[in-house]
Amino acid sequence: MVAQFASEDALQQGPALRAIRKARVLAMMEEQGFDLCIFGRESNVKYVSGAQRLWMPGARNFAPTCLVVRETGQVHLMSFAPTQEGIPPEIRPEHQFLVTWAPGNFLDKLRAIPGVETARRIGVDGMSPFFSESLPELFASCEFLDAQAPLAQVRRVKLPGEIVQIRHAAAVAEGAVGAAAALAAPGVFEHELHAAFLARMYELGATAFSACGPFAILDGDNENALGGRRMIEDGSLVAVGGGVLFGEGYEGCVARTLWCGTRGNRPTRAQQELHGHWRRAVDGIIASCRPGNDGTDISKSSRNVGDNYIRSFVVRSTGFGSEGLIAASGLDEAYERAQKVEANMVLAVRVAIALGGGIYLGDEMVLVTDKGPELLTGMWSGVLEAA
Amino acid sequence: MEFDRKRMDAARHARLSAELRARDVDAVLITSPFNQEYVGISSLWRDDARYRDDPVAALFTADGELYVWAPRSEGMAVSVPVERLELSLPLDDKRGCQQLFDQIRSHVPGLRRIGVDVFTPPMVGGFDGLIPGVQVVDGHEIVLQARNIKTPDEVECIRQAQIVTELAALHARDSMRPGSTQNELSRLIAERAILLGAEAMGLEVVLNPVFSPHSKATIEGQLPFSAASTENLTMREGELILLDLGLTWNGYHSDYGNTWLCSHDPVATPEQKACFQEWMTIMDEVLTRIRPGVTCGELERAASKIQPRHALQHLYLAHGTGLVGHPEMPLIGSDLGIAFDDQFVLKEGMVIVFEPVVWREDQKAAFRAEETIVVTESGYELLGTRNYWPFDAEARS
Repeated sequence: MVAQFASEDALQQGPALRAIRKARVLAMMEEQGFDLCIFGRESNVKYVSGAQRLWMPGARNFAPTCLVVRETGQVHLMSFAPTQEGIPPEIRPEHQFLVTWAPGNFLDKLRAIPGVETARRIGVDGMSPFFSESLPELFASCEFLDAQAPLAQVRRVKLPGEIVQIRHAAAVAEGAVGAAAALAAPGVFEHELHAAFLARMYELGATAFSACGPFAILDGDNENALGGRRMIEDGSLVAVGGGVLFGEGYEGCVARTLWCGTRGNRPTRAQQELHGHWRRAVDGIIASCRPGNDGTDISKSSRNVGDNYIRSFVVRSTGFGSEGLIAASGLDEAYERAQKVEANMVLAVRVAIALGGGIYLGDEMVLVTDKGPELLTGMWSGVLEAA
Repeated sequence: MEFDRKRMDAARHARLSAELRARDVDAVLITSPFNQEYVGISSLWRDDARYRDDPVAALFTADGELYVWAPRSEGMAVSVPVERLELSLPLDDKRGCQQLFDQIRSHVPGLRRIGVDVFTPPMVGGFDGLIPGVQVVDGHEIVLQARNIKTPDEVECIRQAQIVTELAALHARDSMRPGSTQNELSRLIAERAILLGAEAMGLEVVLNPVFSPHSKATIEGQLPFSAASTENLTMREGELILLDLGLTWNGYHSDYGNTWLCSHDPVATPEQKACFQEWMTIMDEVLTRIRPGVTCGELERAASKIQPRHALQHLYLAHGTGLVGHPEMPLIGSDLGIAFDDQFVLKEGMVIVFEPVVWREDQKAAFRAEETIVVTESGYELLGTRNYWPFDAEARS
């Protein structure tokens, strides 16, 4: 669907895209009555500021490293270095403060930000036990409120410029996962697939992953396989997948399960059926990803695909990494009902099929449009698909 | 010493149980992946945002029992016996949090005091009825306290992580030529490291040309050492490259810093050699004092005597290390101040990364590297080796 790359969408990048995202956050603050937002999650910081600070895997504990003041409309950032690298030019040196380790100094730096001392309603995206003790010192008669839920709602609906970057990210993920898939064969080790994925990811211009795997032999009944350093045996099912962060840090992800065997060997009948069941299940779920539906409609579609081989499924909103679950196996119905599907959302869909003692795991990404879902990823499953 | 995972798991559980008992805390709820590693749970390495949905949660009791809320079809391994495995709950959602705490109450009857390491939004503001009658305390601090002293198996993990990182980095250094790009070198490091036994990249690879047209300093007089590489820069002849990266081995983090000279014929200038020599003198003066009982203040003063400005203004002379995620204690020479350093006493089993920096304001030279040590019974042991070519070329001839 190359036609969707309208030229103005492609131009909605850099400062223009950052300005619209920030305006959306300020509008959310207005609506919620937040005087100040304090963000500690890197994905929220990226959304409102466009900053690409030091990346590391794992979930950092909360620290107030990004503040948005509604009155001034200004974003203030903690930086990890006395340089502008990775920080957009509109966030000038006077809007930055260097990382600090002493709580007293930290509070002084926050206090110096115009608009902070008069804030009463403060939205936060989390809290550490430490800051829950010390922040009230600074904000004596303030209320701390949940900014994560309303911001996730804003982030879920994508701008045209974001969709351009996400399409690229999906293509980079396919390339990186494809390099691992090309290597998968009997005698190859799981970690060699991981190394091939990372190598291709860097070659394609991404410098961080959103998930480095799965690269795991799925023989047996364990869909939660954490790959390691095992050798692929003749006739094994092997999951290859992963996610990359591309452009400003938008996620692309894809996964498939491959049959790895030598010439002369063939997948078993049960192994052959796995891919067909997965395709039907994932297509059924994707078909329900349309405006007007909510999470319960997606869950319903997972039960209506004609067979009951779905071990687990997860549908989540993605952008700067995950933006929360929309539907998943075993998820609370009231929670799912509250998750509305809207046009211009991008969803990542994972389905695991269990049959005959084997597992098939695969991921797709889908863009929700007014006309229905559009698949953003595609990858061949090799022999299983040919069979 | 041969690494023994079971022995390490048992020792870590014993340390954490002891910390909980000492504070009269019944259990700790752990949602940080780094703290989860400490109780034996390894997850697929994911970006910050990806840990927040379908999150792993763990409850570790003072009696050493472990309860785990596992994600749907997302890689996870637990190396210790689990009392009960439940399905992951959405913890950014109030209802999900409520279900979690209800389940915790049923697992730990008579719960009075619980540690929580990370507060999700519904927990902000005093846990708002989520767990009435139960006192919530800082769970992160409890786990960090247990993590502070490493057992020999943990030290072995860090040693392995350091070795793998060093070999991968040297592979890239030896391939580097003018015209090499940051991504090209990052690729060489990452691919080699995984093949050599690292589980994952624990940090973005920072390859930072300094004192070149690339540098973008925002504060006068400071070394423009960036904590990011966002532009895929091309390295040029004669450039000094500051390197910083980390990898994981059984969840433990390496921290590797070095200075490289990009050139077809790398020969260090006299100024560059002088910077390196001063850096070595600082390291020697600091390391020679390390043994149990010494205060961090003594180390900071030893460095200051050689060069008052021996660290980046916003960082430190040294920081503790262990599991990935955040510098551990002690911080030495940070803005916590010398009084903090003076009251912090080194103990056997602490693992510390020293990272002094020497630079000239005329921008003719700089040297930065990191060395990781473990405090031993009578002194210290270096985890890793020294490779400072070509700045130490003369010393070798």
